[in-house]
Amino acid sequence: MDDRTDEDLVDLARRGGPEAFMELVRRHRERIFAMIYGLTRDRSDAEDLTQETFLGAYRALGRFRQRSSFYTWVYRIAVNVSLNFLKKRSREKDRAVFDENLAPADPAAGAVASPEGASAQRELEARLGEAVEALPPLFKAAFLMVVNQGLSHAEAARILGCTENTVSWRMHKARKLLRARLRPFLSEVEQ
Amino acid sequence: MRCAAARKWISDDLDGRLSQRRTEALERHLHGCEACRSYRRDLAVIQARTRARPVPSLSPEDWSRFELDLEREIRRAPQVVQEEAPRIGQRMRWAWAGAALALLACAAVIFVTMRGQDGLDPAYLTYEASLEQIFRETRDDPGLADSFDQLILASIGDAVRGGQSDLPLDLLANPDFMEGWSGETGSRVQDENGPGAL
Repeated sequence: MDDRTDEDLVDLARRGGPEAFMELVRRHRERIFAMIYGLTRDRSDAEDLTQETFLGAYRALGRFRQRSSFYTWVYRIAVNVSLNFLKKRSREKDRAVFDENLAPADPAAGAVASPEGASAQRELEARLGEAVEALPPLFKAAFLMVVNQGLSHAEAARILGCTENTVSWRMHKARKLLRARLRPFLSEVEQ
Repeated sequence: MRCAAARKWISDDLDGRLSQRRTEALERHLHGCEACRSYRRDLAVIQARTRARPVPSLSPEDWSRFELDLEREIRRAPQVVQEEAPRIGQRMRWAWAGAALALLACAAVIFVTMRGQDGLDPAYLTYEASLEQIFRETRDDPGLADSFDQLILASIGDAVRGGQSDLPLDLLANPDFMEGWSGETGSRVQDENGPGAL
């Protein structure tokens, strides 16, 4: 186990040591990958974006002032890279507009919703993935950071570059949208 | 409390950022509102299910490939150069200090220059300076001198008659004060107030 701190490795990498930087990558790649996967829900995309995140971090290392930890700094880069990717993807895809006022998805529609096959629990899980995927990117980022990664509103606000109140508001809106979308399946689970 | 506000608080509560006072108010609302209780139940299920969603992990072989690709890209990337942190803050501090010093120097020059001019009377005259000013003004104006004498005599008379021997400023005992009097003035003070007046 390498007992050098992240700060030591950052200093070494700045002096032109790719090996030191690769050690930083090994330390943080799983968590960065998990966060990106939470946002993209695509393994291949998450792998590419994790690569892009670390490469971007290496190129920008000269501008890293160490006001935060290396992990927080890379995490912020990963969120930005992922959000840019999601925006681009949403432009490319002919995505149905997600609106809480729209009629929720028909629980009987689609293969997963087969009344004979899938249980209500699995049905909910499948629909939850779709609903989270369809959230507006900034709502999704805040929601996944807080719920999946366990970040506080303050930490999420620092990473997203907004206020805590904005994060709180995005969480509320994200939950409201998810609930509107999943309501029929939730009631099935409750029954 | 309205349901819309309660639902925002339910969201905050799930993230552990609702104050004790608001938590109590929310609980009171939930006690009488089935719709909001159902909303909270639904959000709790969504939260639990979202957390439980699996995240695929990459195999050691996948990570090895990832590392090789990244390292190749890094070696191609331009050399990391540590940029000098901007020193604007430090430069600004010196600029402010210089400006303050220049301002002080200007104020000192103006003060010293103006002080010597007649147009600027000192704010406080010393006792001796005030007497000197009175002597100067009354020297060439006998009428003014006489009026001034009368005024002084009247005030001394008042002080003596009123028994104010413990005046904080003992004018009569101050030789500077009587120095400017003419002999006639002294005689008049003694005539009007008795020989012990001076």
